Order: sequence, then C-alpha cells, then structure tokens
Amino acid sequence: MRDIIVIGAGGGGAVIAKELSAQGLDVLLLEAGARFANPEKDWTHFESDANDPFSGYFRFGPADRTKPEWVRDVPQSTLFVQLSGVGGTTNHYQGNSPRAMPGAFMDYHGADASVYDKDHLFPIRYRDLIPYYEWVEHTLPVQTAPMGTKEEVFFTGAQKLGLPLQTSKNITRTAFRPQENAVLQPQGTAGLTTDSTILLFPRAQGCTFCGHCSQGCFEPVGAPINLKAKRSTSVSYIPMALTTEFWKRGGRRITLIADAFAVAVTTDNSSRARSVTWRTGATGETFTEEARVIVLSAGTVETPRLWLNSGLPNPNDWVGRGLTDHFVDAVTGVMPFYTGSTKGNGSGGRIDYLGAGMLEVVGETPGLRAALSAFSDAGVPGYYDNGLPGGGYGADTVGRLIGKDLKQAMANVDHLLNVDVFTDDDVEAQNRVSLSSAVPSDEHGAVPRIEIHQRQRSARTIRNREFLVQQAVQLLQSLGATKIHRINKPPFVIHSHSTMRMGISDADSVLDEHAESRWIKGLFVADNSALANGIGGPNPTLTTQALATRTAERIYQHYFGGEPWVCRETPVSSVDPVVTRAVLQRQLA
Amino acid sequence: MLTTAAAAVASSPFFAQWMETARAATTDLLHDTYNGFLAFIVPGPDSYSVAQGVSTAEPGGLGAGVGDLLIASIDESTVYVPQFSAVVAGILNQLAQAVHPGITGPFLSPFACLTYPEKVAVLQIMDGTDPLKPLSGVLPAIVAFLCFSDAGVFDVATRSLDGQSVGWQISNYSGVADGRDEFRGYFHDRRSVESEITCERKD
Repeated sequence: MRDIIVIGAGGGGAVIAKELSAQGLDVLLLEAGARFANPEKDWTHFESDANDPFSGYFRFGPADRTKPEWVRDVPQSTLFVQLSGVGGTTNHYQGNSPRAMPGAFMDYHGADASVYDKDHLFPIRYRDLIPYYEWVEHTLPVQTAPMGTKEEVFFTGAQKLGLPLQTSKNITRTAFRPQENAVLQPQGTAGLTTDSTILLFPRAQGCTFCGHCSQGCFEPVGAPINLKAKRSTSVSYIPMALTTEFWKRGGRRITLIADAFAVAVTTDNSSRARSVTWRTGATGETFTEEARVIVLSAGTVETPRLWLNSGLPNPNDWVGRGLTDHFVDAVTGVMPFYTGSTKGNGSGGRIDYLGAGMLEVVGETPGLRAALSAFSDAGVPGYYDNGLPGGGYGADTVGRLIGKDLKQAMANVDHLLNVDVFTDDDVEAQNRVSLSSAVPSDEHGAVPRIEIHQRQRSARTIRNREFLVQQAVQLLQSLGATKIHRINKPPFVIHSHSTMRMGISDADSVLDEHAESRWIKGLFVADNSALANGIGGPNPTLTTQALATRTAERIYQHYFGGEPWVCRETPVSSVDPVVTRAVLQRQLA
Repeated sequence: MLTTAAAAVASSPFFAQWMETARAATTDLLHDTYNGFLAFIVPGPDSYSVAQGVSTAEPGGLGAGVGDLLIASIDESTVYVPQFSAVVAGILNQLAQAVHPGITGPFLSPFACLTYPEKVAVLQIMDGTDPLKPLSGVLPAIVAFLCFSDAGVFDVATRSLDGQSVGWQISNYSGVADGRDEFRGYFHDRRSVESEITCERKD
C-alpha cells in the first residue's frame, strides 16, 4: 500500500507530490498524458507541432500523437484549453503567478467587500494562505517580469488611464503592474540577441524573450531541466520530486507513471478512500494500487468526471457544478508603431480592478493570434451579431475577424497590442461538468459533458466583463490605435476553476476548508477545481499551488502524524544549486 | 475541439441525412468545398476568392497549402464520425442551397459558388443551430490557425520546415527563434516587490 496516490501531474498534483515526498512519504504520481522528460527533444518552437488542434503535442489527448484527442461533450461553442502530460497546462501557460484578490476570501472587510461573489467565498482567510504563497513563490521561483516593447506600451496606456502602480505582491487596490511571474529573469545574453549561437546556457540564463511560451519552454538551450526559463511544474516541482533524497534529508523520491489514465477510485466500508485503478494508454492494461490517502489533481473537468464515474457520493449534487472560467474576452488594437507582440514574455503586464477582474497584455505567435481572432460568439462584423449582448464602446468591430478584416488585422502581427479580459465571474450551478448521455463512453468511461450557459450569466458577471472591455478599449484609444477589435468570445476557457469547490456551506460545496472531501475521508482535491471561486480574476495557478501546499501539510499532519513545515523550514528553490546537482546526478534532461 | 464538434453534429436529427450526403461526396467536391471555406476565412488572389467577390493581391488560405491537411486532420481527429470532413462539407453545401436555392457557378461545391455575404449567411445559420454551434465556433478558428501558422510547410517526419510559411509572410512574422533582442529593462527599474505579511500562521 502506498502512502499517497496523486492523480494528475499538472499545476497542483506536482506540488502535492513534491511536498509529501520531501516528508519521506511513499508517493505515486499518475499522469494520463505524455512524460515530457526532455523539453529540448520533446518540444519545438513550431506552432503546428505544439498547438495543432489535431495532433499537436499540447492537445488534451494521449501520449501517442497518432491517436486523436480525448472526447468531451461540449454542447456550445467553446475552446477548453487544457493540456495532458507531465506539467499539465503549466507547460503552455505564460507563467503568470499573481496572488488572488483578497475579496474572494471569507475574512475580507475592505471598502469593496460587497462587490465580490459573496455567496461563494473561500472558507479560509486570505492571510492564512499567505505563508503558502510565499513558500511557492520561493520554490518556483516567482519574480517581477521584465519588459518588452508591448509591456512598455501597455504601461504607458495604463498611466494614461490615470491608474496607479501596484508595488506589493498582494492586490491592494485597482492598479497596473508588471506581472509577478514564474519565469526566470534574463541574464547574460538572454533578451539581448537573436543569435542562437550565443544564447546557449550558461552564457544565456533565464528568459531569452523567444516568444514561444505557448509551445513549451526549453530555453536557454543547454540548461539543466530545472533551469529552464518558464517554471512549468515539469521543470520545477517534478524534477525536485524525482530527486528528493538529494536535496532534503529524509526525503523520498516519488514514483511517476505517465500514460496512466485513472479510471476509478474506490472506498472501503467506512467511506475512506482506498484505491486507484488506471489504464495504460500504450497497452490498454489496467492496474490498481491502494493508498492511505488519495489526491485528485486531474483538472476541473477530469476530476469531477473521475468522481462521478467512480460512483462516489454526491449528496448535494455539487460535484462538477460551479465552473468559473473568467468569462474571457479579448480586445486587440492595431497600432501605428511596433509593439513586438510576438516576442518576450507571453504577458509581462496587467491591470487589476478590484471586484471586477483584470486586463493582461498578451502576445502570441501568428497562428494562435489569428485563431483567437476568428473565435467569437458575436457573429461577423457588419453582417450579424448573433444576438449576443455586449457593446463596442468605441471599438471598430465586434465579433469574428475573418476575411479581409482578419488579413488586415494580421498584416503586421508585431504592430498588434492584445489585451485579454479576465472577468471576476460568479459561481453558478448551471455551469458545470457532468457525465454525457449524448456521446458514447470511451476507454476511460463515460465522457465529461461541459455546459457553460454563456447567455445566462449573472448580472454581476456580465457587468464586470463589459466594464473591463470598456477599459481595454479606452486604453487602446489612448495609445492611438488605428483599429480596435473586440472579439466577444464564446467560452474560451484558459482559466477554469471551482468544479469541486471548497466552501463555507456544505449545501453548495464538495470540499471542506482543508480541501478534503466532505463525504470520503482521505480523499483530497488539489487542482483548480478545489478553488472556491474564480479568485477575483487573476490567473489561478499560484493560488492552486499555494492551496496544494497547504493541503499537503494537512495530509501529513492529520493522516501521518507529522508536523507542518511552512514557516518552520526554509523552502528549497527549484533553481537552487543543490537541485541542479541532483538533476544532473540523476541524469534528468 | 473538432471531436467535440463532431459529437454535437452526431446528436442532430439530421445526422443520418448528412452521413448519406457524405458517402456520396466525391474527392473533387470535398476539395472544392474546403477551398471555398479557406477563401472565405483568409481570402487571396485565387479563383475561389475572386468568385466570392472578396479577394486580395497577397496570398491567402489557398496559397498556404493547408487544404489537404485540413481534410485529413478533420477525419483523423473524429473517432465517432467516419468521413467527418465529408459530413462538414455536406452541411456547408446543404446550407448553401438553403441560402441560395439553385446556386450554380464555376465550382462543384454550392458553398464555393456563394458570394461572401452568402457564405456569412451560412455561418449565421450554423451559429443559430444547436448541433452546429460547436462546429461553426471552432472551424473558422482552426482554418485561421492553419493558414497563419507554419502548418503548411511543417514536415512531421523531421519536425522542421520545408518552405516559407505563407501565414508568416502575410503577417510579417519574423519566424521562430531561440531568443530576441527585445529586453527593455524593468519598469521603474524595480526587479522585485514585497509581501506585507510573512508567515503569520493561524495555529
């Protein structure tokens, strides 16, 4: 019997695995997708190799790229951006690691306290999470983002809007800021040259400004895996978890199995988590192992799917409900000057609006930029609007960019300034993951159905989104954009949360304040689905990782009689020389 | 993405009819239809763009060389619906007939013979039809991705490019690189920020 089985090696599961391995527990970490052990060999900078929706290595599908993506039943136009493979969705994230808005927590009493989703607050205090934020921020590490041209331009726009600069890790007011992100700051030749011959490690260290965050970061070339610039868990927490005994006295390295899709979790007669069964993709064989504690970290769709397919209890019918996705939109300005939108950090700048959400300046490679411009729920500008509410607020177009509009907007991709809108959206029971009755089951059981009722969102959610769009348009106008396009997106789910939410009330939550199931003891959740809400609009990964660290402590204390370590020990950074030596000694890539 | 769209299409009461149309589709009709769609999303100087009344001097979707790739990928990505590319083509052509009854023109595909506004009308019908919404949502985005990315010149066997991407050319993209000379320093020269509260534990 294992001490711990963790299902899912993404942003949250890798954290739990590393933290409990450091306490000497026997941890088995299962990952449904590819291993991604060697980023320099596994990944390239090419969009079609990485992001092709059919066969890209970053699709949500099996390790074998000749096999199609895994099936989901999504009855509305939706892009649900989620990756399989070790590292999960952090492999293509931009590394943005802001803390949550304090107003999303139960203890908040600021002047703006009334404007959040008061019915679905975190059942813990914001200040309780801060030590865990600090622990993760040191481990990854999280640093202040440098600027490229697009960030310089964005900050100029924010100042023109009269916004102040945020200089704290915590979000204390409506303000703009350089991102706090999990991307190593550039050193040496990084960021200063396009000449690949002088961009090799150690001459170049940290972010080289290549602009390929979405294809997976393997820069600088030649760096040990734990010194790659972007701190996906595949290059930070996982290498640490595979070398624990080298950097932590009493530590015990994890067992990691990729291509292992969990299909069932069982309990014993006393409603205690007991075992996990998984299926190996390459052979179709199934295996079962028992553990004292089981942690679900398969993501906001697969975690509730696994729960429901396992027949685990759901007495209040909230398993899978309450999906928040930041009701994302995008506003793009065609600028009369160079912005370098395809270069540098995926996003190095943001504006937080208390109680409303955030704006981010983002850059992408041309294929992704064009695809996102053509993905709308608001028809085709000049022809029809699809009946979707939402104004232009001075934008030249609202809706899909296709045809000549698309070509004109894309005529110089490095003259675009893209502002993404992330709404502080309400937890609503209608937005949910369930099991499909319309689509046949696959080899992993009934497939998940994802319902997002785009046109029936709460008044507060819609109001927040429209406000943010208005702000984005004003920012672009202040900078002299020659054309402004609001896309008005259908569900574009790059942040998803709260489908297994922890909550104050047992009537509308699945997890208690320790992220443990209310109905099955020894069964925890440690991915974005555990979040109580959409955390106010900021990117969720850091908060999930901080919460996962807190959950790991709870597991160790409650089920193994151990002592907490956060605030009592000094965290080891994943870029510490002791980890680098361990990685090289174990011959990790 | 398209697996999801295919699942929705398969749930339609008209699915059997679309499958019937798909079985009857010839290779030429298939290519004609997708050429018409490529020209719709990313017009160029080609005959399909000219026929729809919206064309451009610089290369477009057809020039990107992704038509065969699009068809093959649609088929390979949908496990539940065989010949899904033909099903999609059948839907586009059937709706083209609804938008413009008796449409004829220089192409086998009714959809390809439509004017640009008529093609928009087809998209509008799909946007307003439940089983087709997921398809009309993602198909333009997929085509835009293929046209503006390196898909048309990417060699899967060597994982390298065997030509110049049209999408890169028409978007003035400088191409992939291990790094850029784009570092502009730190805002106000600030390289770090502080946390106000440190290690205040509840217990």
